[in-house]
Amino acid sequence: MNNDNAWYDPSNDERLNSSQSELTDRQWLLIQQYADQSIDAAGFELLEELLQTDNRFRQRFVDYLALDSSLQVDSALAAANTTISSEVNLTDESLAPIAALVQDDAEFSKIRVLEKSSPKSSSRRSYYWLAANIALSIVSPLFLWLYSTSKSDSLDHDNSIVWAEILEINNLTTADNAIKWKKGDWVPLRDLMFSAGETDLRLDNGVTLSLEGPLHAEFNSGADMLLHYGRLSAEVGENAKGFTVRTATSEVVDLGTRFGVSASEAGDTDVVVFEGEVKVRRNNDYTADRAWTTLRSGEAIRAAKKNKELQRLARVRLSKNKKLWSSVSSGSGLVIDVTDNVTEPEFRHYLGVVPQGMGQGAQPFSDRPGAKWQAVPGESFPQELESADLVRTFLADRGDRELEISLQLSEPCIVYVFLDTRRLAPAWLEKAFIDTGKRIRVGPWPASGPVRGIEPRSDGKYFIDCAVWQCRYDKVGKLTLGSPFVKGTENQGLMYGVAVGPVPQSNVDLQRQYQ
Amino acid sequence: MESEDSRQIRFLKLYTAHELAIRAFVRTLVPARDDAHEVMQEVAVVLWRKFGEYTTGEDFRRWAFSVARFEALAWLRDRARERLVFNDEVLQLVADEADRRADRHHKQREALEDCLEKLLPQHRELLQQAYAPGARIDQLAQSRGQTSMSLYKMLHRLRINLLECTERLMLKEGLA
Repeated sequence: MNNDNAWYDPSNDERLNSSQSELTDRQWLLIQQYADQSIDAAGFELLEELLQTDNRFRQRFVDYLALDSSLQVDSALAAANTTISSEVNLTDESLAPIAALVQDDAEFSKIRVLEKSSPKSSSRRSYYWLAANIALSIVSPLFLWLYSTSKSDSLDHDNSIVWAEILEINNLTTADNAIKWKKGDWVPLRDLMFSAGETDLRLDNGVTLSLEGPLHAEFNSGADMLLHYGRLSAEVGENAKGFTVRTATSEVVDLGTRFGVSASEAGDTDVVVFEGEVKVRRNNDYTADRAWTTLRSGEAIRAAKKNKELQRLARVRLSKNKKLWSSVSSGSGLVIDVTDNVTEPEFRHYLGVVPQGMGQGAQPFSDRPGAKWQAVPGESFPQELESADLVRTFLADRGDRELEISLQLSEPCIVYVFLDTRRLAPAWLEKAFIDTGKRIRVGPWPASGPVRGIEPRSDGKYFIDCAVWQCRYDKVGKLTLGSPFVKGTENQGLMYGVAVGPVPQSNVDLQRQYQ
Repeated sequence: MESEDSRQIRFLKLYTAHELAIRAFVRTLVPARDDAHEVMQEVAVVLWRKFGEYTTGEDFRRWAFSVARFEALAWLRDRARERLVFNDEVLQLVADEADRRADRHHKQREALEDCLEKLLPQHRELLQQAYAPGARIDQLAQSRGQTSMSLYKMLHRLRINLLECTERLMLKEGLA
């Protein structure tokens, strides 16, 4: 295997088939000869047979030709750059509308952002392929023909239209009943206002938005929107990094992520990151050069109109199946609210409540979106846990000796705590809970994760077993859980997970009761 | 009612955003690079001509692929007697596979730039020369003082290495 940073000299390469060993020399040769048009009749016949019968060969074939196409584009780009620099001046007034068109595109917004904040290679890469597109397009007769038939004075105006495909729509209500969208429509977005309902839509740069009414938003481009009030979730792919949501108090820039923004009519903005990273800054904070704060998976803040500091949002309610979320503390389900005693100003992790969200594949920690609850091998997921209310804790707390997490419970219920089997049970757990003897596991984790003492599976992935502890809570009120840390032991292992389920009709007497 | 100007701009934005993916898709179906370029030009014109049908909310790339598949297959059927044209069943299988792997190929393109930078400068230059429009391998080989066969092999090794490098990067960045 070559070193990532080493230059590669194919004349010294004697192991072409070591890492690409799924195909034989002869098979690779067939693909190469086809791509280079040097294949003979017998070879072509064999190639056709392999493509017809061997899935893996077919995959490698299309991968190889896709790479071949990219190399052709790379070469065309080099040639077009020469042409453009010698014959076409992109700052020429005659091409200004094209420049305007391109510069207002989401890709260019992404580039501007990445140039300031991301590793050079990402920015360069984005620019490279965008430049390739532009270069190809500019030399394309179709592009020039279309351009020549457009009226240049209308380009700026039309370019402000943001197009979106309606993916889902649910009871969208407006005062004048003016929105008559249906699923599958492509609609222009400019000034969007509705009083109730929800809709999921995808912008033509691939950004997926879930919007929840009441909402008022303006779309300046596919990369920039102004949220006057309302709540949204955004899923931003690689193509649209830098997607920006502005509110009355804040500016939220995506760095490749799923995130939510909520703006109240009073001027407060909530930001929550489900996965990836965003950066946030206040619009009205001129004293700190409007410094950016980066938020990562599992972090949430409020930028209140009357408070210059960003405040931690300690809990977020999430929907099991939809992308809806809320920062309000009340809600339906067994867990009405969850809070903790963390007060560090820089700590921004949130506790997540997902009504009926527990089960195989559920996410246990708000700051580890990739890790999921699973049944241990050979067993099914414990039935009593399926569809229990899930409380997402955060892994970042696993060493906090003073941690307390308080659950506000709406009715008598069974509270489950899932403790890493590598940990000793803390006293508060042993006192009020019993170990059911059941186990579930969480993963996958990378080798760099909290996997000390764990053997990887045969596929190299790590999973951590957790013991299922439970207690019956017969009141309506607050139950407080303590730290996973046991005094005198080394801090090793995961933060615990939490779920809350209904009291089953049978075997209630077997539960230890919370005092 | 959408104005003609607005329609053109919308098309240009969508087409520009997906052109590389459509090119890669066409390339998997058409044996020769120059032919793929020719088919691609035809695809672009047909996409624009049929853009009026693209109002039902389809994913643009998927819609463009279906148009590109039809155009490429029609182009190939016209040349069915030529020895390097796959039969219909193989063409459909390859087109389906290319469609399924389009997201992966998008990531491959992104990773490729970093991988190209890791090549020796003379190898990067060789690739640009070999892939330049109208380039002929026999002439390039002659100018380099080597046989066409050895140059083909060298280019193949570079491609394999780039393929491997892009996959390593995709894996590293969790994109694979």
